[in-house]
Amino acid sequence: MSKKIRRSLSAAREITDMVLAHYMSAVQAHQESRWVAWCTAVAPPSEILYSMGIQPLFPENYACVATVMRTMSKAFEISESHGLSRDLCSYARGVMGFVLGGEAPLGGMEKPDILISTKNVCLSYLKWWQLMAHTLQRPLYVIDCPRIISEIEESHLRYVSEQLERLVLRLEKITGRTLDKDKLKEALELSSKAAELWRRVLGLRKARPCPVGVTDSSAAMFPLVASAGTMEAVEYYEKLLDEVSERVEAGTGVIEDEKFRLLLSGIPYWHHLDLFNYLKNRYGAVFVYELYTATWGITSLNSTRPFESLAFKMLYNPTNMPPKWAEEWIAGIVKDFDIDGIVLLSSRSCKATSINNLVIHRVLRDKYGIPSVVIEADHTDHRDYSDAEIKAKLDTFMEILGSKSHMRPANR
Amino acid sequence: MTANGAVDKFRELFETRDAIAAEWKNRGKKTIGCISIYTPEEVIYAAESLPVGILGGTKSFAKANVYLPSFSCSFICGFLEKLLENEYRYLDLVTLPSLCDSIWGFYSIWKQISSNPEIYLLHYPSKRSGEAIKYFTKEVEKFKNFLEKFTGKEISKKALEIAVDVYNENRRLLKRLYMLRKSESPPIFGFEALEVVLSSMTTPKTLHNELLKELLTDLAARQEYPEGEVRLLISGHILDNTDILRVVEGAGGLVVADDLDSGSRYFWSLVENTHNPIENVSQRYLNLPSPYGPNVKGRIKHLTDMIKEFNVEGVVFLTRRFCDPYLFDHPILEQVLKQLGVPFLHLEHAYPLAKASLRTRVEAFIEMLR
Ligand code: SF4
Ligand code: SF4
Repeated sequence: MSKKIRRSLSAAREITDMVLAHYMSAVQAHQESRWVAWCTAVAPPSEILYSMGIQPLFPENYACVATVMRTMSKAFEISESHGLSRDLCSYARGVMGFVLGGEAPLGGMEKPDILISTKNVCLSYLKWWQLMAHTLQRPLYVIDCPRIISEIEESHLRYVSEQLERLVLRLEKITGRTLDKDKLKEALELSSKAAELWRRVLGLRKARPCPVGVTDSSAAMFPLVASAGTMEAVEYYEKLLDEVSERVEAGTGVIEDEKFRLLLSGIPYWHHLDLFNYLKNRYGAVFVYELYTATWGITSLNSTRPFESLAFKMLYNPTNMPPKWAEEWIAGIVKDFDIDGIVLLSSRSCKATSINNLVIHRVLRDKYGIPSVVIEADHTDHRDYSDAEIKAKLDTFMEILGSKSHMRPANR
Repeated sequence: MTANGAVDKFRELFETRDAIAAEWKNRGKKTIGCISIYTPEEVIYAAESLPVGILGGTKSFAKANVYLPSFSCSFICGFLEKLLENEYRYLDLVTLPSLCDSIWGFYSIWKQISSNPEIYLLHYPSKRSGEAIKYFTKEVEKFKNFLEKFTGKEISKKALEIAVDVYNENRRLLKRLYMLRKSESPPIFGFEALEVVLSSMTTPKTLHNELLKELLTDLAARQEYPEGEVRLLISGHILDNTDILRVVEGAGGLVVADDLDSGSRYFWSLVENTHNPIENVSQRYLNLPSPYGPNVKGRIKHLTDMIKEFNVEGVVFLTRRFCDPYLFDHPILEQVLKQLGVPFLHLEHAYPLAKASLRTRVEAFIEMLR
């Protein structure tokens, strides 16, 4: 029985260069006297910024890149020595270490002229951004997003879109550049197109064997995070869609002998991405969907109503939606993608994505009969990571899944 | 360290808060749990209901830990534990302002596991711009409409005005009490002042007002003054029991002021007028100095004002472990105090309290200040 590991997608391998180019583009922006904005990564108003020639950078992404490059340790020490508790979001702690003078990879992040927070995911989106703005002595603009408790209502949309319009006024005033409405319309169309292509790519993972694994998909979401609203992102996802479609047609999977199809919830532990290979090699288990990567591109945009549409995108993200919505969303994915089990990755320093995992685990089991396992570590801070313990927990889970699959009808 | 009898009544009110609320409910009225400081309590009062300040509780979190992970703050753990222990049977409703991820997490968890009591989430904006003020005012208005349905009582403008008066009176009286602590020998201990404020969060306000007036008279006649060698200020979240302050004051400190949710921040500012009570009340709550607002300036101002006004010699920051909002502000506040030359001690704490190590650290700090 061969379990030959396929090479990763060539489109995913391109990401390294795109990341480098992205951080360079901020340097270039400053050379051209254009502004740089540090933005939160979930549904930032990139479409507006790109239309105004402002280059967004994403500290969360930078933290993730720095973790993969194994350059975070010193940064953590620096931020701790400045009084930041180890219990706080490790993305924040890492980036603060760089902001406070730690040696930063890729030449560091070009300093911002403004910081923009969407405050639609977690409190760190407010407090971390405040701390950066305070430390760097730069202005902060927060777009305050209400939590959704049943449905997104007219009043929510109005509140958020008013704030977006005010952001534009403010940017126009301080940069002296006006927002070109046609450019904005075009940016929304491009952003929407990229999102749609990404959804189609993710949809192709319904195929057996699954053509894209979690590592590739975590890399390939980068253009949607960094370049929503640009042609570059659309071209990237067109290419990606072609490559993945070919794989599906050829019946090429992440592994040929796919035994288990898993769903990932939570932020990958960037310092131990090999955990995914462990499951793949040892159990033939493939992640066919991640709630994390699906968060980007979850909705389309209507370019005729740009502000309202961007407001909707901000509010409509899984951490901001009510528990009932999240539960049904997950159950729907499990069904559509024929998923055997769910791995809920908790991060000790990220309550927003982790605090209710124990309850989600129960609800999935009791209400839907879906098996899941809750793993606890930190998404960026590798220092307390216990590889053996985590693998042991996953081993037990896989054994349970294995014993269940014996009871399945043979056509599966 | 000996307590004087003057605040015994408040201690008793605080210790019997569950019984008081249960009794209220037995009279056919609603009791509504809330995070006192950020919930417009006037609206609840105007609906003839009792707002009951939610407090974390400090016992074991055995039941709560079935649902909450190890990295949850003790406030949310304690609250959930108490709910699961059925000690909050009397609550008809819980109102939570959307302050932090723990509260939103708690909301999601409770929604999944129970519907009794029901939870009402109130959006608390992180901005103070025109849109934010308008939005929050609408939120409070919506809450009012909800309460009218929920309690079956119409909330008139008149009722709101009366509520504002009652609440403002409580605030003024509490402030008068605090002002006495500016004196060189304050008439009460910090832990006693905390008992007075905590009981205000759980006791019907009119009763509390009466007792406060008596207290102020009693204190004027107080003979015995608490002893302490160093004037301290305590800064932090809701301190829901007196244990830590007793440790601090047992070690030779005298707490003369605070920057606490269950302290000065709860009552320092008034609802300025009542032309449009909902709007006026909303504005007051939105402008509280807190870690949930647009910047740390408000907190810095309140903290430094208190330090100056109360002649504070040292600050003890008390932060619950895993409490993101306060932990994020901490480096900035430390910086401010360093610049001011005010010594400080940062205690991150969890429950059960590690009293012995707390005491050692506090003693060392006070030793340094002597
Ligand atoms: S969602 Fe979690 S990891 Fe991301 S910024 Fe917020 S706290 Fe940090
Ligand atoms: S503010 Fe802090 S202590 Fe209070 S609920 Fe939030 S995390 Fe917990």
